[in-house]
Amino acid sequence: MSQFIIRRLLLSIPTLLIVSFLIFSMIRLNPESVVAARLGEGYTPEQQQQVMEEYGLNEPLVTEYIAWLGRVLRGDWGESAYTSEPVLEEMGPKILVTFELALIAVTVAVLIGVPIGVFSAMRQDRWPDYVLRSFAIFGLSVPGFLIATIVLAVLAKQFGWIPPIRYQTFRESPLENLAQMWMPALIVSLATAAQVMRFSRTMMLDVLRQDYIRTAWSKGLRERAIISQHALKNAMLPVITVLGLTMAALIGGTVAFESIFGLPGLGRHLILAANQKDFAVVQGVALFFAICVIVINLLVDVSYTVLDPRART
Amino acid sequence: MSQYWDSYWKKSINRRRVLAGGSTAAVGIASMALAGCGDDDDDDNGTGNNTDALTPTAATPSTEQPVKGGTLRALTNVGSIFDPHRTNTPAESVSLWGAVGNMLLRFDHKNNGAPTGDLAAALPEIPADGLTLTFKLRPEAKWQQKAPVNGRAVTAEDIKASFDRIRDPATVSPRAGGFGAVESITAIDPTTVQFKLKTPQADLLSVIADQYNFVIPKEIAARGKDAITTVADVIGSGPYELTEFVAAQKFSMKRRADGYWRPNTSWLDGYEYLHQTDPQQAMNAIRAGQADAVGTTADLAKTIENDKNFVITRAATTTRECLLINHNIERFKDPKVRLALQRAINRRQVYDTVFGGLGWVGGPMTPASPSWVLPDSELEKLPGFGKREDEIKEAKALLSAAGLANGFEETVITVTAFDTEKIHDVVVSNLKDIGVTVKTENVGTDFAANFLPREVNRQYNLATTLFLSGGYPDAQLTLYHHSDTKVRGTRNYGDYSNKDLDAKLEKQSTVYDNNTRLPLVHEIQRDLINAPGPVWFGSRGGLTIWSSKVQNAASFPFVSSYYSAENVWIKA
Repeated sequence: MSQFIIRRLLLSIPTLLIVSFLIFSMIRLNPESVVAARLGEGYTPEQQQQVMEEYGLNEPLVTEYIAWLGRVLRGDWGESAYTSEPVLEEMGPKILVTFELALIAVTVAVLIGVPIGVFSAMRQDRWPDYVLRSFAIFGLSVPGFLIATIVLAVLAKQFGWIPPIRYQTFRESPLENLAQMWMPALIVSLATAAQVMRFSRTMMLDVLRQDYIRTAWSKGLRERAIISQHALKNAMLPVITVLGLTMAALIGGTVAFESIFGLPGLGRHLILAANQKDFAVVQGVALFFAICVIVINLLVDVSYTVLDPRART
Repeated sequence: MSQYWDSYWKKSINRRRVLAGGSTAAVGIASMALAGCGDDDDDDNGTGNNTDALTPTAATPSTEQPVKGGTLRALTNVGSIFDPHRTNTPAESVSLWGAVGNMLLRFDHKNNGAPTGDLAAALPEIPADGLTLTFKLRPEAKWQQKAPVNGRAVTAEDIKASFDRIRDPATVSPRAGGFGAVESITAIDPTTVQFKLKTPQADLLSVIADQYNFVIPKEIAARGKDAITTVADVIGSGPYELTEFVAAQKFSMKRRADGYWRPNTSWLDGYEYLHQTDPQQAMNAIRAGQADAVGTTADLAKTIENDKNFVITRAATTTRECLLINHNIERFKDPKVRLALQRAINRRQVYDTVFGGLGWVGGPMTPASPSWVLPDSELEKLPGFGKREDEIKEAKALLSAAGLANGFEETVITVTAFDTEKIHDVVVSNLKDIGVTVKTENVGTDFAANFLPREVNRQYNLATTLFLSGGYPDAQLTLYHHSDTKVRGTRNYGDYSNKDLDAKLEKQSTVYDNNTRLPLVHEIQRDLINAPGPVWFGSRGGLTIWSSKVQNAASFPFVSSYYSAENVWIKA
């Protein structure tokens, strides 16, 4: 097992290098935009030079990249050009917001998606199956940000109520925090729940056609026992992969919800930094997203091998 | 649609309450406000402008006795830099420093936004040569009770240190250029400060009163470029103290404990600004009682026009939309062709179509500068402001006289930002009316990265664009039309060159007496309409929704919205 993990970790290094170099070089394609973003219009050549120096834009790209990479490996991810705060320190609280949102969303998606998927499979091609599949298609086809916008507008207009807009951390006030988080998490989870539901249903149908399930039926076991003790574990293995990928996508994909619900998460942080051409922050957040995707994929693979030893080879 | 809003204000708000300008900057629209006191006799004219709405005043004036208490909660675009000399965003200048700090001069909303004393006791003494400005300070002005100043008096040394910091190239202040004419600043004694100029600069008083030029303690200024990076560094002489600032998230202020040196003007317990830039979400928040002031759009504002829980204010802004012409292109060297373009644009249509009627038609100076702009009665007699059919006829005749009777095809660049792409759609349609076929080149969504460099480097023939600058003549006329593009006309991205106009621009720039200066400024505007550099359209407006509990909320032009911290209270 440890060899498997080490091998996967080593494989992720070139991926990270390529991703980090792309991030580093792409945001330097137009140095003038940095100056314009920082100074507005009408700046002097001297001011332009000063800003270029401040942002390290006068050095060759590769030199700058190697220097930056060295600092990153030593734990120095740079400072925001706007707030002068260390990038990692600034990201800390925002990571928690985004992770909390993604984690609640995935949990809700599992709690909704798996039972419905299993139930739908057990009632294949009967009306409950059709109804639930229709809901799943709705969840997949209507963008979450649109649902969020409509729901909030209706709640505000008809009931004069929306979730609190003043963000408080879980440590400051658990109740206030959850009062703000539950609705965006629920809406974010709709598409994921639909995906999990459809995947669970397909996997369950596949498993239910296996010989050992037929044997269980022939032995006279009750439906609940067959599903819970024999079918579910095998059907859920691929679902874990979907959940892992979804979690990774959610961490980088909640920016619209963070904006709509006023959540100070990592996505919103990235957008602001990109608008301000705050190189260090953009690089830091993008690199963090890349690391998240790689780590989550690794965790998925590891969990897979724990549950199914055949996957270790 | 402009009539919709005009009739709305006349219908729903009595003369005293007509406003027009929400302190939009206070709620984060990077736009500005021009308030207006209604006059029922002043109806729309040929330009479609409601000039009533262009006289600054308070938006929600109240005759009730102010009461202490309450926190005003507003939604805004919270940025990252709260150093007033370095930031480019109004939330941090107008909303934050407007409550925390004071300026040497500020714009007087009771006098069409003309500069008046803030920390200065009055306007400066200026000798006949116009080269020395001597300011006497208010001795009662005190810094907040924070180290290292601990409530000491504001002195001339503080003024000198603040403006020297802005001027210092090491600070990299976007406002440094405004002080190019200043040779030195001297603290004569604790309450007297003197600006020595290389050349007379009449607009220097407006530059000093600009929304970003707040006075900070000399001890803070001495720290250099990174002097203001923490909440503890934010020390002002204003009525409120900064208590929290979280970049891109929120900031809060509380009333200063030692009492503001202008008694009976700070009533609120404090302010709380949260980051939210989506107008729909902002509307949801104010409907749900979670905010007291939010920026909005014309369409959204209509949905609450009859709700007595809210007051809507509107404001002209100093943003100016225009068709930028590259004068290096042979075709546009012919003044007849440029005048044809000037006549082709249906300005009213731009503001009705794109901004739901919320905009003011104008020429080279923004309608948001009531002291300087040509009156509508005169504007409507000039090319481009008459009846549409007449303008099209005249434009076609001009093209014909220029040897372009069949029109021409031209590439026009634009950008998907700040509604520019929508304005461009109207421009395309308008130009088609005179036989000009537009080939659109949209450079994308990043104004700073993709569009501005094209303008600066003259890589365009025509461009649908917008500009934002102060509401005074040098910032609106000289900056965009003087042929010296290195120093005076640094935003003359079309290389417009007219030596006679240069002379007029330079002359008006040195005249301190506004009564003498005004005819010169009007003449320049007429010249620029008859022989356009860029084709100017006017200025968009901004809308703010206030909870009706908020009393006496300020509503001024963008550059003077910082008044909003004083004399505002919340009804119990």
